[in-house]
Amino acid sequence: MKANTILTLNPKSLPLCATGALMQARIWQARAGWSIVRIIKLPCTGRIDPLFIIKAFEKGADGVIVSGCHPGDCHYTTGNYHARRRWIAFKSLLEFTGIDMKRLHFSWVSASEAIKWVDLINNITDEVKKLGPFVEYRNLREAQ
Amino acid sequence: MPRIGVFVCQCGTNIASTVDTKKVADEMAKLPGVVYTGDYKFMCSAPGQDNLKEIVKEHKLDGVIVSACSPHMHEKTFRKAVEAAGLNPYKCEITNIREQCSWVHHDATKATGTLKSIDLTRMAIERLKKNKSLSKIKIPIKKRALVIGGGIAGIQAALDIAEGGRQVILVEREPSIGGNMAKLSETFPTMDCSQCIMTPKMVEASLNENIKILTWSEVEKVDGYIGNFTVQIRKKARYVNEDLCNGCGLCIEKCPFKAKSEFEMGMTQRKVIYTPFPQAVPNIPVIDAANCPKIQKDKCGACAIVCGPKCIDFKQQDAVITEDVGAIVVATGYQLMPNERFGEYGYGKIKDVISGLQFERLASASGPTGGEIRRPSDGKTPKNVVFIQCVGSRDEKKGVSYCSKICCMYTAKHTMLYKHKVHDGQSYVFYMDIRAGGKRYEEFVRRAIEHDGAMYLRGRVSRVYEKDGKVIVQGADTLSGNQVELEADMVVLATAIVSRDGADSLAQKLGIGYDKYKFYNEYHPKLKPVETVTAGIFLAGTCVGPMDIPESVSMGSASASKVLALFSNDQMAREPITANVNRMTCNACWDCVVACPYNAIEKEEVKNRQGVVLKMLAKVNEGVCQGCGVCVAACRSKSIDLRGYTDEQVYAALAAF
Ligand SMILES: Cc1cc2nc3c(=O)[nH]c(=O)nc-3n(C[C@H](O)[C@H](O)[C@H](O)COP(=O)(O)OP(=O)(O)OC[C@H]3O[C@@H](n4cnc5c(N)ncnc54)[C@H](O)[C@@H]3O)c2cc1C
Ligand code: SF4
Ligand code: SF4
Ligand code: FES
Repeated sequence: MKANTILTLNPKSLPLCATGALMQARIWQARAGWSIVRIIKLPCTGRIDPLFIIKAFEKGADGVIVSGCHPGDCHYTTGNYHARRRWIAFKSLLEFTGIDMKRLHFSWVSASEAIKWVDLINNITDEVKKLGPFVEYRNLREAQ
Repeated sequence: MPRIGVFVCQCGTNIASTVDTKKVADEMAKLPGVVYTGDYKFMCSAPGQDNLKEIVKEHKLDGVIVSACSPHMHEKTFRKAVEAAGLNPYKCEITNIREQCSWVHHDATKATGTLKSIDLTRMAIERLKKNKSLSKIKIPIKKRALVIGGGIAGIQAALDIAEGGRQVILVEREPSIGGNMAKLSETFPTMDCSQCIMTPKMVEASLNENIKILTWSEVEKVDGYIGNFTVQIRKKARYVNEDLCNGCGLCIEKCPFKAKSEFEMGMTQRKVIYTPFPQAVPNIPVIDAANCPKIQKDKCGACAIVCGPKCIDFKQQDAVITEDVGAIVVATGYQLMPNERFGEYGYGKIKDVISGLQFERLASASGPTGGEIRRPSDGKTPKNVVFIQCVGSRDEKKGVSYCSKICCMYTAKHTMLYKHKVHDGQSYVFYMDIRAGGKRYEEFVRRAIEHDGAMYLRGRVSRVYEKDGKVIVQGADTLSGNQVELEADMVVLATAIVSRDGADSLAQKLGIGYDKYKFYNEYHPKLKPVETVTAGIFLAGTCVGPMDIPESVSMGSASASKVLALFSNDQMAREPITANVNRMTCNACWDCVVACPYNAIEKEEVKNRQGVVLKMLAKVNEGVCQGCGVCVAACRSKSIDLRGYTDEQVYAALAAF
């Protein structure tokens, strides 16, 4: 029931997810938190334009998870190094625009680390639920 | 208005138990542009696909959504079905409502699962509205292959490709092909002599008209992409004219200078002009320039005097040659971890502590002792030999975390070889576990213990030191709980199998991945074990990780069959997920050029009719582009986009969220 209540408040979190490989991991230990997760598949974390993340918050995401291969182990050899460099620069900008960093998570999970992936989603969805809907950001947008 | 059809799959009860598929379909019917919706028990079944085809035609659909399992499972299936119904296959998108939704929901009321499926499907529909028709990219194929590394894996690959009627260039960095297998004495589990089974293959490779062997050579540069690689190969100066040399060996005989023999693992000397071993292929010597007084200070020149065909050329230089190939097999093999790293075992300090490969040479009929087991320090026959397994393996701190896999087997083999040659000798083996998985392998180890009397002690060795001409080995026997101290005449270390020096730099040239131990990464460890992430480059043998001869040979043959399959077409089709540049807005900042991990972006000159360069533009080489999209996020003027994952598509999905 709890999950339902929260859903009526419309807190969806949106992980941007690289490579389909991750999705092959069969996820048995998943919890109810997953109901608020919507995955956007992209070929590589290197494809992620930081504006995607802003857009997601704008469209009502309460949290964003960016997940892809470990540095050095990118399916496309070095894509995630680019992604990492971009995020380091981008993070301060996001903080500046008023996004609570507890709502944005970057994590490296390889296709063979199903358990890690599950724990990650469980933990982050729990945390985002605690934070509740990200109304501040949406209000900001509406005020404009 | 688009005409989209939405098909929601129940996957038996896989999806239907936590998702109300009918409700998902009904909800989707309300969206603009959706003209048909329905839910089915099994979309992927033959009737399911036929139904899909009929509906596409009947409702004149121009886009199809299948909400079902992961696209890894059936994206191909449904795109094919849609294509058969006359639609562009890239107008079909899959929504994953099984792995991402039904399987992670346990809510029997189906409320959460249904809601999420509706969201996911809606996002996919909005994305689909932005999909463009795409067609597979056609690339011509050069039907010649390059094999790097002439060990057993590379030789096997070369022979199989040649057998399939295609030309092969086999590049080997040593003066002869053969690799590590040429050094082995007899081989487990059948105990056939390594040379006897290896040399016929080497000769076969050298006689095969389709195989061009380049020894004493290394790959310097690799450009291009599947079907169209251009490779630069450095032929190191041999100081012997290969075309003239008839392999008589007079030069070797007359050369007055010697150096340590690499092939004999430093246990004996070879001449300065040499072939590594008598059956070398090609049977053409090379001069070890660093040790040759003629080349260093213009003294000697004996070889040139005796050489009949006059093929010695002290002025020879390295030559770089270029070859065009369509596929590459990498088979660069392994080496042993330098034992010097194991000071506690006395290697390098104590002469009678040797490595496994050195023992192979001692046991080999063509080795430095003619196959008699005699210890290096004084040439005496050792009566007690201690073998230590897992030296450096399975020990993250001192060596590597992995198991070297073949040492259990070759140590058992060594105890047998030893017993067969020194009847009154006793062997001891310190081991951690015995790993003898494989056909007839366990029986082989049992034979070493039961028939040839090898004494196996479970435990680690803590120290090896020299005392009165003996090597004292101290260790623990964990099964009896006692400390043991053995007086040995010789100690053999089964040191870890590691990747070749320079394995990383070769991988970088090729654009293939490697792990933290510099073993090459397969595309998929289970389902694509000989492919790499770079299309057209395949792997064989121990450059992937420790393995024995049968496995290396299997991988060689497997790679060859992949190469031949590729060469069976004149052109190949590739997924059209590639970047393309907007020629109107690109401002030639080259950010994308720098960012692309595959060097797929060229700098194009746009000229007017007079041939004057008007401007520069980024241009994606579709054959090379792998579709990662790194360039897209790098371009600040938004002038480059990725087909199949365009900004438009991603934003459409985000907006529908
Ligand atoms: C002590 C010992 C005993 C063994 N006994 C057995 C046994 O009894 N039975 C069994 O099945 N297996 C045995 N093995 C394992 C066996 O040696 C290997 O499985 C096999 O030799 C692997 O062949 P390969 O072609 O993969 O590699 P390698 O034999 O290492 O060949 C690789 C070749 O590539 C060349 N090369 C490397 N880098 C480059 C480069 N950059 N450019 C060009 N060329 C390059 C090398 O010079 C070499 O010729 C034993 C191993 C050891 C250490
Ligand atoms: S990054 Fe963009 S603008 Fe710069 S060269 Fe590449 S496509 Fe052109
Ligand atoms: S999509 Fe990736 S591989 Fe293709 S051009 Fe862009 S950066 Fe290079
Ligand atoms: S493909 Fe996984 S991060 Fe690049």
